[in-house]
Amino acid sequence: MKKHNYSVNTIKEKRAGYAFVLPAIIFLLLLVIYPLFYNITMSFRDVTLQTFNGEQEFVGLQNYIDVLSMPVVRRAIFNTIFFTVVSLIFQFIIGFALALLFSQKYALAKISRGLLMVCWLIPVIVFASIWKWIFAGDTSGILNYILMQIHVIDEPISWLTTPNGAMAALIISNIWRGVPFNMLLLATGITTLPSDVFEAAVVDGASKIQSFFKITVPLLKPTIISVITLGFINTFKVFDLIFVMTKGGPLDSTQILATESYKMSFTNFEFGQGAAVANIMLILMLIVGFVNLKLTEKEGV
Amino acid sequence: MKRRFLSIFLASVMVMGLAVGCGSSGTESTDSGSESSDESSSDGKSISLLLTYSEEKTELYQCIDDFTAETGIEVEVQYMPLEDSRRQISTMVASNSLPDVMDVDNTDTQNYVEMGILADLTDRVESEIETDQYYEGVLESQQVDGKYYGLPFTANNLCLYYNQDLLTQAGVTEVPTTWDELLAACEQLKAIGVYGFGVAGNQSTDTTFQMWPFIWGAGADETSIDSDATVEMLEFYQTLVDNGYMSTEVVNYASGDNANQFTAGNTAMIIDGPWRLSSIQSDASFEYGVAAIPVKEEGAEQITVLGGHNFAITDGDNVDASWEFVKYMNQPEVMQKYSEAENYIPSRRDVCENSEYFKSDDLSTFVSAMEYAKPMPKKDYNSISDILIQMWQKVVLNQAEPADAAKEAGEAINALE
Repeated sequence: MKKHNYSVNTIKEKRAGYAFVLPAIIFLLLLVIYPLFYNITMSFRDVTLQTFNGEQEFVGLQNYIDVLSMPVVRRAIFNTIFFTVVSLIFQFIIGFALALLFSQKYALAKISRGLLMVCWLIPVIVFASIWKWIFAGDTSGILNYILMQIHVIDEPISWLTTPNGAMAALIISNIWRGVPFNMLLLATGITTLPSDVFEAAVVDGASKIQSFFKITVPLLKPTIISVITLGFINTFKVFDLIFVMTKGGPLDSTQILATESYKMSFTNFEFGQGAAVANIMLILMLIVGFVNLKLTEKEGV
Repeated sequence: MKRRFLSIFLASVMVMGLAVGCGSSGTESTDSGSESSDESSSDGKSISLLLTYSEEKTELYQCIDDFTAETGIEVEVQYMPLEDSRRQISTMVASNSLPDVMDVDNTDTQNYVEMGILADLTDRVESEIETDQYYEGVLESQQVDGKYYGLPFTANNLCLYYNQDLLTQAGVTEVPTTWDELLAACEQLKAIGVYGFGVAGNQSTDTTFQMWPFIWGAGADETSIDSDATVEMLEFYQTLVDNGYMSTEVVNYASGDNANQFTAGNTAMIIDGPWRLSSIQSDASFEYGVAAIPVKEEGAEQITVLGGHNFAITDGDNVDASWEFVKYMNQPEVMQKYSEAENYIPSRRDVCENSEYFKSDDLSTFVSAMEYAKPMPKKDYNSISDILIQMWQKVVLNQAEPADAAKEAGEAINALE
């Protein structure tokens, strides 16, 4: 055993240090760790209407077995991942393209960048309702109207009333929302890149495309990793958009883990099962969190 | 090494926080709002009330003030929209901070009884309330297993709203009273380019609410969904959709969206309740009318669904003062006052009979429908509702034949414990 010989001063300093982090720790304990712990224990107990106010039997993994055997939950897992991955790919590509555009020096660059942020600042319930109108499937939907006017389609598309159409509509709305966020973070990253390497590349005769893939992308890697991770978490837990636009329907085709968990807990009052679904989400997100940590750690070396 | 572990731990906690934030946490968010109810619950001079109607309902809030003036019992009102209240009540149970009186949707009563949070009011109701003055269905909806767990607050039912201008234009002379007449009228309306009929059809309880009159009208109920009657009901909707009489967009409509299509003049006939009257009165630029929901065939009994809110009292030491309040709100004059102001149909027959207001053209249809309005099943209501919506949407979206959908739904309902 190694023996520590701290001077009085170091101990005092240490105490002061702990005092400074205390508020943060209390905050974490009360608002994050307690509900999290509560939710985890709830998922191992039989918490339903009848038991809510009394004894809640410990049932081990039964809630998990129950929910995983439900077709709607398995569908929700698939939907969640599908929704997240597709949204993320497009958000990232469009966001990156716009970031490159707005990092060019032209008169309206800053203003257009600011205007684009409006999409991100509008409350979800507002833009979700607007998208719901835009996607209306009969002739009253403006998207169908436009597509028919420019002869892309002959018949109106049933966006929100067919399983695949509804998923597509949700993904499009979500991309619309996520692009500004990706754009902003990436644009900030781009502006901090040193200009000398690009100048050197020009001198060496590198094409624009070469300097993008060989210089911009590698230098932006830390930003890209955090953009993707944050985007993943933001998209993975989307709830309000789906709740407003489709309520998980039609026929549960747009039910994702967040909406399904809500429905189990607060509509069907199966709190134990709802908690189990929430924890499945959590596990999936933790995996992404750890992958992110591993990647950023490598970056640091 | 130690620091690295800590950073991983804290980072993962943050990620988890994001995950739980949208799941079923929320336990902490309600504590502050309801602390006062605990303090006030013992002295009997003050009660807390959870109301799903906001202060815009001035007459209603006036009645509550009048109660305080008359009895000296303070009422501390906490307003919450219905959807939120469902969620919050569960968390209030967990944090032991329930209000004394809750305004609950009558399909939720059974849930709260099962939670064991409501006071049994049977003795008080039977000895102090003139039960013979109430509509039978309304009283039935206060009961679980024959015991009273509440008194009526507001009542409603569903009827058929029709756009008179469109009907005239299409040459429909009589408002349809049977399913066949409805289909025939839709055919005529189709010729002038509008949808004949519309209902709420999204994945919410609005849809089931509007389905009951047709399920019961066909002769089925929740215990006999796997039956020819249900198949006939589903075939009726299939006909509506296949012929273009009803838009398949309804699978994304709550009742409000459906009503918007009506006021916009896109749909000629819809099913809705009395709460919609005021918005239709102010927004519709055409002549409209209210009629009873068409029955399956000539001579069949009229049927509609009963909805409404109850005042339930939570079990605790403040039941006496709460009961005074609930009883006060059920006095004929008081009920008349707040019901007239908001187009709630009174739960008492005597109030309807004595009020000129409820004899007006629009409202009298709803009032007479109270005589045959039937309360919805209470046991496992939300699960049953889910199953019925799936069944109905499958047929409307042409994903299943009526017979198969009915069979599947019947089996799913039987599988509920």
